[in-house]
Amino acid sequence: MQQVFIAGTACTAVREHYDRSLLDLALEALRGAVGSFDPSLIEALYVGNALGDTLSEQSQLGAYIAGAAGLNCEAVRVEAAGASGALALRQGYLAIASGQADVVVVLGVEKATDKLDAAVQASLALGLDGELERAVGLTLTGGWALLMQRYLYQYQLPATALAPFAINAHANGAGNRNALYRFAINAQKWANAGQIAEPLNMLDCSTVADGAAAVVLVSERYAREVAQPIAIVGSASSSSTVALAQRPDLLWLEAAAASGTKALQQANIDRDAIDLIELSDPHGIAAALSLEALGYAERGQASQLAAEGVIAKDGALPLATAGGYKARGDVGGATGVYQVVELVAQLRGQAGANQVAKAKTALAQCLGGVGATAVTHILQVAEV
Amino acid sequence: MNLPKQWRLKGQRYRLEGQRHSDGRVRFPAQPAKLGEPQDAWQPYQLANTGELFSWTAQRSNRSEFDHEPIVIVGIIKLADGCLITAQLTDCEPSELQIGMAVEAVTRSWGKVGEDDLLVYGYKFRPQLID
Repeated sequence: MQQVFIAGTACTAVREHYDRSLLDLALEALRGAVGSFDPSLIEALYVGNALGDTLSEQSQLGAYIAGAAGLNCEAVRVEAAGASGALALRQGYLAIASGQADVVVVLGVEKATDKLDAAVQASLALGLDGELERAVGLTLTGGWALLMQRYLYQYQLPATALAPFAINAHANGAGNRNALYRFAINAQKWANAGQIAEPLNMLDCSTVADGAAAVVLVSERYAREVAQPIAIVGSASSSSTVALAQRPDLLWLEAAAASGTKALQQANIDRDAIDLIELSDPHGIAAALSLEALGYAERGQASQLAAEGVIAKDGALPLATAGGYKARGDVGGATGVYQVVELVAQLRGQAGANQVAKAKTALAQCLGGVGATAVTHILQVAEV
Repeated sequence: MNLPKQWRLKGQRYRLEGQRHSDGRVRFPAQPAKLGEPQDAWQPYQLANTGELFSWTAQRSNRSEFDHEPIVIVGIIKLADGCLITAQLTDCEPSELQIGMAVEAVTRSWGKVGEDDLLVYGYKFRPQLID
């Protein structure tokens, strides 16, 4: 297997880009990531996108975007709901690791604001089980709310126990110029927020918005020519049943646990070697269950990590340093690529006000649906 | 939701038809045997129509098909035979709901289908009226 390195990265600001199309966003991110790299060297384009068929009414996004970019190469769209971008990154990783390619580009793109909220909800709900969950009216947010309601009951916690995740995300989002929401919130604001899907309130729910992020992956041959290459030292994905009621344990994200374990084993490091982390955190419950699945907290106790400041920028395990889903904005299937762009900035010491000191190793985990797909990548400062 | 699918799924939606394994496990809905399982490992089985509320949510932001309803209450029910099922809750307000409360299945409208607005029906659950 060849080693895989991240060369260039870029992302657009996450916004309600009413004046910009999916292609506008995709091309901005691609141009930024490719930079001065010779585009004729690009052997493949992997596009992570979840909502394009329904909200942009466009399929075959691989060829659609490659054509607009002037690339005549293998071009593939990868779909796994919210994990689409992370799974596209894994496809790019595999293309280089296997020796099939030396230079590929991975793009995550989502254009959600061409339709109204009810249509966005319908599109997001395609990541649920159609016959068992969507047909009875469940939304994606409702799916996470079912887990939160049971979690609070089972571990005898108040809903406010999960508030510190959103508060932490907003504190970090304030320092990220690309974030959708650049303001802090506090516990009182969180407690007073209106209900969206009980017990999830408005300040515990991410906002779906538009954005694109891209990374250029290269083999060692090209990494030597790159300033500050970042190595992908672990890459793994796993799956569990889509329908929540068919899972043996409702509060255990089996796919998250499996992909996390596999990625750490591949990197040959312990979870304590991770300096900072990105998770799928559209709601506090998602972050809590992911931290438990990854082994950072005993079951039912992840909220303590947030309450004690462990996940803060200066804590032992900084989480969502660019604002996470809640403040950076929820870019659907593009999220997995955004996470990596943000972590690369940290590992290169380019994260500005949100820089984590001495960050050398980082973990990104991205979930599809309510955790039915999980993809984990581990990044490290490289020496080539 | 479309009419051919509703017709194909009438057993599970009208009669809560699931399957029981020879070792006693129960599942919903009926599914093909998994890889490595004998084809006849699971036999048709009608699920219990009572159970307890395992979790629930009251959705106030809903999809296009349900946008006319201000609140859609969805629960996960643990049926008396141990099987979990996701269903809408009806004949109740969010303030009445508690995890562990007894519920029972009823057949109710799920909405309209096609250009003729055909009404389709299926299972929902409500607080149990009589113990």
